[in-house]
Amino acid sequence: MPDSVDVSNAADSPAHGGSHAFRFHGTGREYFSIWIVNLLLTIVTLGIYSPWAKVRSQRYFHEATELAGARFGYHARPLSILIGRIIVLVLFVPYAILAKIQSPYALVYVPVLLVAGPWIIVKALRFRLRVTSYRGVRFSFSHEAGVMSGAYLNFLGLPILGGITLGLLYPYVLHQQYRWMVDNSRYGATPLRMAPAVGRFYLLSLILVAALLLFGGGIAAIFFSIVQAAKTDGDLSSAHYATFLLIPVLYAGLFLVSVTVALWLAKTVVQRLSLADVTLSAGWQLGPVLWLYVSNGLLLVFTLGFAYPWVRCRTARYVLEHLTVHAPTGLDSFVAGAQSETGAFGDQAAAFFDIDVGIGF
Amino acid sequence: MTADAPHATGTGRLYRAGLSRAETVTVRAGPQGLVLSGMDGDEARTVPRHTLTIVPPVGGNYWRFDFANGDTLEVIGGGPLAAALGHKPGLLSRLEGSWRLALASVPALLGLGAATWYWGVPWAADLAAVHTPPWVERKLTDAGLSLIFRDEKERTTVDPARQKRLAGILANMVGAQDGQAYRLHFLNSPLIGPNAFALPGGDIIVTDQLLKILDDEEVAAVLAHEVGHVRHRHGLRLALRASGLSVLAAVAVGDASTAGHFLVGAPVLLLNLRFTREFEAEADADALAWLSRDPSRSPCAFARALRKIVDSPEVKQAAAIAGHLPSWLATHPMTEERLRPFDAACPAKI
Repeated sequence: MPDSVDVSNAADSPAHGGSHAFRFHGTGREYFSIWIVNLLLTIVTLGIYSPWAKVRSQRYFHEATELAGARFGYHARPLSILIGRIIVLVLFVPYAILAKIQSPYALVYVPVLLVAGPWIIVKALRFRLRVTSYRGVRFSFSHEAGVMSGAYLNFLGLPILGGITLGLLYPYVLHQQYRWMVDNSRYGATPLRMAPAVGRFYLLSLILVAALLLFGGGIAAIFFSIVQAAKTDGDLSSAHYATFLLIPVLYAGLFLVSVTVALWLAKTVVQRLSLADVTLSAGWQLGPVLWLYVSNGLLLVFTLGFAYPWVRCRTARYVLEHLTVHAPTGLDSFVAGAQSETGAFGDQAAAFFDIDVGIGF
Repeated sequence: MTADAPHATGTGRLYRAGLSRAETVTVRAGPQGLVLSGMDGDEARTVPRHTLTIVPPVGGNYWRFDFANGDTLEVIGGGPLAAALGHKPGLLSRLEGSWRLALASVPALLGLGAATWYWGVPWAADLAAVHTPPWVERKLTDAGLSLIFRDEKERTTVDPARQKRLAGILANMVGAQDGQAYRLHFLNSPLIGPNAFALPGGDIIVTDQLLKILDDEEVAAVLAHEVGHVRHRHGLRLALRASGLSVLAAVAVGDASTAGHFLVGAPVLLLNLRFTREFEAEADADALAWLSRDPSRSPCAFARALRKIVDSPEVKQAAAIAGHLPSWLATHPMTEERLRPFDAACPAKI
């Protein structure tokens, strides 16, 4: 899609307040050739190129994202990502192998991971935000003295407390983690804030737990009836085979509920964010989001993964173009904060262990 | 998009160092560098070429110019400006701009993916299996054994004399030097029914239900098949191949949505079945070789054993629940197909 439209946007006068929807200028066709070059070079260099590939890919998505006439920027240096990946590989591949072969030596890593986890999360957030810019101003994650202790409280202390209370505290723990991550993030020198939403987190958790119980109960009932029938008759009628068809229905129901809950959670968080007087609203709807999930899955499977660039771009377009920024006094008055370098180690460690520290967009 | 070098112009947005305030400026490429005009209350300003970094777009046409003093200039369609400043497109943007390369990559990557799927992963997994020290297999097996023999109710009811006899048959079969690696276990499990299986490392489990319907000669034939599994390290190789394929499938479909993940599971499962059938055939060949080696043994025993297992009520009931499975979905090749070489080698048909 040609983005010549941008010129009119670029020409608007500064400093005026109003609402702006995000715009996404990327297209699957355009990203396809970037993606395929990334893939080829990564294969040819046996993976060494992958940090460069990551940076190109991230730059494509950031620079195709427009808000109020300005684009986002991604500034990570591939070399620091590569060093981070090598450190992660050297430190944690032994753990992966030891865990796989169920060696007791893997247990040595448990305290290490517990203690290093929150530290890695802080490092990853710092790196991730630090390399992102908008209007020439960088995002950042707090360097204040209390941040590390906050990380240990929210990602080590509270989860343990959640476990002790048999999970009753988990929605609260999750809420505190989100809030802590948001409240320590900054755009320039201006901190982001998240208004509390503990009640909503509990409501969503309750719905999810109820759906899981119904699903588990349904599956158990189906198998119980089949086993009973097999014991008494020895032969199964077609009515019993038909009950097997209920299993996909149950799965579909669980899928529907979890997508709904995930969507509602994302909306809950996004709509409680604020940056000075700037707020967000999200217009994501369940129907289109479900269709996005299902059609993306089908596209990937039936093209053996070659539809990936289109999948990424249509997802980004839907997510961004239904997100609106309300800036009553405009976006012109932000100033940069003090800057400091952060290596990519935390970022890689987080990706390696699949710790989801993202906040939904 | 190639304008004459000295006359390239454009409209951009200028951000002063550390401020989010956008100023709309007209940009012109002059002989010394970029000339900006239209800034609030300023006259035209020249930014010398050597104090600015050109950041070419990744796809799209968003050009950024980073100034040494920390200012940032964004120009949509800034290509001619950059060209006028002497910027030449790098190798990467030329590669990424080439449609011929992109299209040619598709079949190449498909071929590479398929080759990795069918040959690469099995080859790498088998190579890894060769280099896996035996104590790793031992660990896997011990974990499996403690799981299987957890239940006290499943203690065997097989006569100790017969246990000893069968252990002797196994010891003779494998010979003195690997003798201590092989151990025979007996499991009383109505749930599993008549069956025998080998764990990696040399532990072979036979169920009481199997011993109830087979005589010692037939059990020996089944043991020869299981020893084949152990000799070729099928357990470890299967585990390694399966994890290799899951990794490959995850890479191909990327960080896809849940629906995608659900669907990639199926082909991996089907391919696992292909490997299993391959391994069964290999173990069968070992059993046949062992049974044919000595005139006191007969391939007929294996055919008899398998037919008895298939005809047992437990297996029949399981088959009734599963329905009639097509052969590509079956872990063991369909019985008759499988028994053909044994029947052919069996002098007197029963």
